[in-house]
Amino acid sequence: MATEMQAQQVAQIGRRQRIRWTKIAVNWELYLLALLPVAWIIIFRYIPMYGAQIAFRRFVAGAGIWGSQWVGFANFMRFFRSYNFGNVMWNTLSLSFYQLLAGFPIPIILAIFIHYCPNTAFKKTVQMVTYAPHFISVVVIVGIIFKLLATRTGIVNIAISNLGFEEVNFLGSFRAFPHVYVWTGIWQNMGYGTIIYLAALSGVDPELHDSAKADGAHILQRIWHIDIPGIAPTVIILLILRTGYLLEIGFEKVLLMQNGLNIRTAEVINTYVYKIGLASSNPSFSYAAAIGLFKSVVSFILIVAVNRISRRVSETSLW
Amino acid sequence: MKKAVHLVLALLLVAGFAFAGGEDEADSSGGVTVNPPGTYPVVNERVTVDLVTLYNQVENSGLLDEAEFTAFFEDLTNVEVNFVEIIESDQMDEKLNLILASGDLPDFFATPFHISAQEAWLNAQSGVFVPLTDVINNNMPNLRARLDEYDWIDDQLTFPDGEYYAFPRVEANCYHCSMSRKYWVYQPWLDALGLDHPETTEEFREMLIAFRDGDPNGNGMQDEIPMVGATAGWNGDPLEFIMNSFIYTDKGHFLQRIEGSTVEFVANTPEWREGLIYMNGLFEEGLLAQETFVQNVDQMRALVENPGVPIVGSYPAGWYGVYSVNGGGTGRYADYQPISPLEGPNGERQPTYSPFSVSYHTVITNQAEEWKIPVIAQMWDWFYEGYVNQQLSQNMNELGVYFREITPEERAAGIVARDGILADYMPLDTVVYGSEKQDRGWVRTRPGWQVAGGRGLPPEWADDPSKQEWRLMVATKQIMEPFANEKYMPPNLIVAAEFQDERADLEQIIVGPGNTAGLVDQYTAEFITGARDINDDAEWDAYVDELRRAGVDRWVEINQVTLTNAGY
Amino acid sequence: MARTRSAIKDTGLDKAFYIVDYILLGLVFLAVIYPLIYIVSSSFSDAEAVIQGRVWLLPIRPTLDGYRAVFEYNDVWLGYGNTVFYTLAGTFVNIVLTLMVAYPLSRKDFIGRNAIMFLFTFTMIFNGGLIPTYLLIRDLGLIDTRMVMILHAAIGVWNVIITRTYLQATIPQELYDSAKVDGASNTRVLFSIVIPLSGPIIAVITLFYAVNHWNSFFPALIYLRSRELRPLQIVLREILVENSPRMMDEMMASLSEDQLERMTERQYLQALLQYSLIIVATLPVLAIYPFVQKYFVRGVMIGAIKG
Repeated sequence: MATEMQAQQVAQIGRRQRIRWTKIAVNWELYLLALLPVAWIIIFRYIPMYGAQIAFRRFVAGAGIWGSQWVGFANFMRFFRSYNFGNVMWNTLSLSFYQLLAGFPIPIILAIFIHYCPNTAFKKTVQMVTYAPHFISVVVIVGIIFKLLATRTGIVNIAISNLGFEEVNFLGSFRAFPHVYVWTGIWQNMGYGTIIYLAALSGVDPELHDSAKADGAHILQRIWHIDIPGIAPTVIILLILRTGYLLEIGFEKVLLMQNGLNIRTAEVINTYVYKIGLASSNPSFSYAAAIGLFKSVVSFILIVAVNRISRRVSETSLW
Repeated sequence: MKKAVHLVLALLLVAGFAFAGGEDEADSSGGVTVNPPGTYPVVNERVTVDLVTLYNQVENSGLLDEAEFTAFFEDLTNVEVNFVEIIESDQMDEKLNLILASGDLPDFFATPFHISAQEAWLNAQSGVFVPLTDVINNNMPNLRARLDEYDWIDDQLTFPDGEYYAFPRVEANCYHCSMSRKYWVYQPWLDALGLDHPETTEEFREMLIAFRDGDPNGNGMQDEIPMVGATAGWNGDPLEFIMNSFIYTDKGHFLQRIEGSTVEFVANTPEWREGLIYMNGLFEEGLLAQETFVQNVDQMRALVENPGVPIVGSYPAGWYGVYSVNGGGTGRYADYQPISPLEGPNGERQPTYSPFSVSYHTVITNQAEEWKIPVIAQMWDWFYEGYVNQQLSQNMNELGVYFREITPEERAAGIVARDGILADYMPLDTVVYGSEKQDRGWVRTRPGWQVAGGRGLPPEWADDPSKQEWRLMVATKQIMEPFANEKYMPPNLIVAAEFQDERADLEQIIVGPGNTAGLVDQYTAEFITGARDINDDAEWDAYVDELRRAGVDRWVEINQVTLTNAGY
Repeated sequence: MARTRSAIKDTGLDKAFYIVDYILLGLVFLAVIYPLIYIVSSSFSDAEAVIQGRVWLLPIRPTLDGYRAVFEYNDVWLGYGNTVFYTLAGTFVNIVLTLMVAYPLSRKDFIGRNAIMFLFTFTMIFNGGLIPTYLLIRDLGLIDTRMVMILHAAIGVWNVIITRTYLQATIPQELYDSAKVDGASNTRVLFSIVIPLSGPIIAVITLFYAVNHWNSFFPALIYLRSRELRPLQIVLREILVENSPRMMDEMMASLSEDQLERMTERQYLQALLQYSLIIVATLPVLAIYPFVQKYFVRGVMIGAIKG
């Protein structure tokens, strides 16, 4: 009996493997297609990865990567032990989460409204106008922000004081900084963010909408039951990807907005790395590399975790 | 595809190993006869040297290979310069590191301002930059003579092992840059209110109160801003100017030198507190505008150049053209006059002093063959000959065309150059100040040498308020120099390798490198604006304590060791 | 492009929704259009007015000085030309490569899809850094060539992911099954089913890739040397001088009196230049958008195929 079962199992495995190989053989064209892109990524992205070891060395440009002294985790410890490590991490994470919570849903909502706008001319104009600010350089955007939010001369404060309230020092308050940073970012980028959702919305089968309408569903029901599930995979994937960029927040924009009064909440990892580069009279590639590697590892853990949750909760996942 | 990958991998491994050991070159291929130093051409058979250099796009378009001077110089020396790469100065830092890391070094670099003493030393130690002591002493009579003339340049050029590793660039005639934290007051308001330039902090305060209350712009509205700054601008933070009346202040490190050799931290002293109390007072009374801590250069400029009536009474700046358009606009640039440092309640009175520093302009790499080193040295020695060669290499400015020698009468009349020292030359009327770039010469590629004197400022400039060099020279010499002292930290100090990282970390936390905000800036802004109460002992102690925890003692220690090692 | 109106009437709630829709979009429009108007107005205004901060909405004393300063710079046209080339060639390569890998990845019966997906996604988070990448480019002989601008970022993993997601969501398995029943090979499926149905997503990634090429600055900085190869962003940056304090120190120290005179003359222009440069640099990109927009029409593709 036992040997019969074993023989059956072996036969099953053999069959499964044969089916597997058949599947692969049948789809040989797909493999051929994927070959070139895979080759590209190996050459241009994987080969240079040996350079990540800079983080474990004390890099001196003249000595090259291999010639630089090995220091193990010293660069990482330098970061973890640095005086404002806690402050920098906290600022980065809280600013990032704030930006995610506030900024992620808005392009989706906006995309839905644009998508359902009955007047085509207006719809296209709004799309065009909201898409444009994304391209304004960060220097000019910060200049505009300063101009609008200034005390005394900024129109926002002029309006506030005309209404009888006290002027708000938007730019010189560490409490206000996260709000100003996040909301001006939303203001600038929400239009560009709608693009992918508009594309996803246009992929939803209109016949579903027609039959829903025939059943008497009103628009909100239709959006909720047809569109949202239709774009759900896109939304989820983008959300997963976003978590991978949590530590990458800000650099030039934060740097331009920093001053003595708000530095408390305005120092993030990337500005910290920049300043160390300025301060150090020899370019600390190793230190920057170590911090970069640390960011990568944390991001990786976050993405894997969120991906796993997503796979369990919905069917969508990255891999 | 796999083969290509293998090939690439193999290439990379080879490349990796190639710089593992550090290149060894110097195949002394002989056969090149070098003529005696000081004679031209440098070599008899034409040779080529490889150079990486930079340009600044404000001054120059970067087409150095086509410049007139290049042809001239190559003919003179019989050495062809191959411009391997001409990099814009903004991108220089990144590119320099890439070039060094890739191992594709040229024979030499001519990159002023972008190789610090520290970097030069680091690369010297790892053998990438070759020692130049021999060639300076034996092949460069001009430079040797110049170094003998000026000890301080010789000192800064000498590295800890006693060797030279770079040819210097010294443009020490931006005299006003050495005391660049100036303070500008609107003269018409002083006149309207019948006030003199303030000399003490008390008089300063009274002046500001008069600005605030006296309606000096005469429009019936109390819209005057007595004092405002912009911490983002060039020396736009009033902190340095005002605090110097209480204790020596330099935002670059917040240190002062006592009796030449002891380093002290200033931002946690009782004197510092007194200064902050004073500034907080100014703020609370509405004399110091709150925009100071927040605004950027554009906003500040808009305030100063306010259309219609002027509203800004005074501000700190490196020169009046930062916030007031020079030669244009409202014409207010002409009316802001500088004042000398104020005397504080304890008698302190000084400007922040930035001593002249040597820039490590040219370095020769270990990629250059042995015979090239004296060739390059003798080529470069031509630049150190004097003012005439400097001008020629700048933009083909020829003697007799662009400038002339000074006449004995003018000499006797005491005409000075922009650094306040007697001039040797004068500009000619054929000089046209146009807006084309200086594309005929080697503006930055040449090792600049302008130490003292030089081209005189025409006396007629005294009447033209837009001639900033004149005004600044006068301002610096007459009202700031009398109060200068020796409390500044010397430039180009080399930090020992074991302290470098620590020092960088401390600098980032406490001082805020570049124009960024560190702990001191943070607390200063909070104390002055009243977000923290400077009069509350507990708050002050908390501040001092945080500085201590951030490592301020270690900051002093490292800087002290560095100073002592440099021989002070 | 008329939206095919269904014959079934909208309910009352639908109409209310549309009103809210208009109001909301109107508000968004007003909020967002302000910086655009400001920039356009500033770029056409008199320099002094800009410096004095007087420009709020409309241009003051309109001039073309800001634009003249940009176009007088001969290299601007060279920059445009180069950028157009890099964008067209680069985007084409991008789309082809992206589809080549996103299509197989979207097929549920593609064994190894998860492994390949992981392979790609990993590179989004980990990379070797600037120096090894530079060395690789150098060893491949691509430094200072046009090819490097096309090759160095030939695949954007982000775009691969969204393309795959889109294909997975929009192309039902039944379509593949019936095609197989009809005896179509995978390649034929790609060209006759997948690509026609991917209108919207191809439009999106074309836009993203093109914008990326157009704005590319840093890669050009480190990989290119010759002046003839420089893209627009690099050229434009040479026109705009940063007023950073370090620059000031450097320039004050090294420039002579007449050079400093010239510098202050430029100060006037700098105020205008930042705005006119933005317009000059981004107008072409804005112009692409209408072409992309027409793909965002609901269901235009699916219906056509099904029929």
